[in-house]
Amino acid sequence: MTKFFSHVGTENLCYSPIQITDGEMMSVPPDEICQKAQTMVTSLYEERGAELLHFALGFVHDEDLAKEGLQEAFMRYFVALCEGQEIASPRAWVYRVLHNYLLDRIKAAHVNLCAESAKRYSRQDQQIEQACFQREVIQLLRTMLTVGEYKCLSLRAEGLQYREIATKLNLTTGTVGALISRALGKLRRSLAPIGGEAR
Amino acid sequence: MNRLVVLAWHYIPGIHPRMDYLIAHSEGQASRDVERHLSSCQRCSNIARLICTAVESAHQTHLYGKDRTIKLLRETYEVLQLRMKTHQDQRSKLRTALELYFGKKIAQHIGYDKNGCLLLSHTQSFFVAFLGKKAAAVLAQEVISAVT
Repeated sequence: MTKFFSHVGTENLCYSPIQITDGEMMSVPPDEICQKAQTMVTSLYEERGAELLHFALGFVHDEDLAKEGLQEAFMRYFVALCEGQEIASPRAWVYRVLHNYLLDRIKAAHVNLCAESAKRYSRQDQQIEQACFQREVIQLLRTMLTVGEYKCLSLRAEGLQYREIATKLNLTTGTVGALISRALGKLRRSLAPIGGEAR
Repeated sequence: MNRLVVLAWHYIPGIHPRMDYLIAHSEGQASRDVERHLSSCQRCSNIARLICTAVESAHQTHLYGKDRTIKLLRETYEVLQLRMKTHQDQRSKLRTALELYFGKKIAQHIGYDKNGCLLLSHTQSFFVAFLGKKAAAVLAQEVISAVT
């Protein structure tokens, strides 16, 4: 006898009724279904596994991804069988699942690659911007300072001490100090109107 | 072959023949309609070519026993077997959880259909009828959390 358990008072929920047949219930224990599914998966794997692996390898040229795709396709086949799905053409079904899975993975990898390259380009953009800014500052300093002041200031910026700068430029330490202090004074005065500060 | 489907292959972009037609084509069972579609569709002709190559390579693997392919197949199957086992364990745990909540007889009725397949997705909607939407959701969550 077949009973239909329709959902009383849940018409608006759009659930399909569950068909339960007395007597036929649990005629096949669930574990047996899994065992049967496993046997079917194994036999298809033995028969078509190599072919599907070659298909995946031809598609992605990556052994790991091909292996993963093959495994996933057969696992989905197993789950579908366990859930009681009837698959008319298992070979075509697994081919389709494998193809779609690999396609999804390629698309996901492409999206990641795009995001990475966008990041890289933005980093490169920043570097270029910084270099341009540096060039502009140097040009400005050259126009503002005398040759001696500029040389002393740039060597000081490189981290050299007054004595080392003096040896390098054949000057006395006092002259170096005076040149640097004059250069900084000029910078301070030029930055003052815009609220900046030179140290 | 349905004439309407065949026309759709030819005139609607994005509609392609089913995989079994492509397999049949790559095995030499050529159909005029599939041939015509393949001549204009890069995607399907690529798939058909790949299947053709795969069939040939697999044949060679079976004949000459290529070590690399066999190793890959064995590795894949080992993991697959493990995953199938885990899936089976989860199913049996779910059955136990359902029995725990509702007793053996009722669990049989709500848990499995006549083929012994799990009906958990339907079971939740079944609970809704008797308990209401919120209570059914909580119950289903409880059952699932008992399994995982």
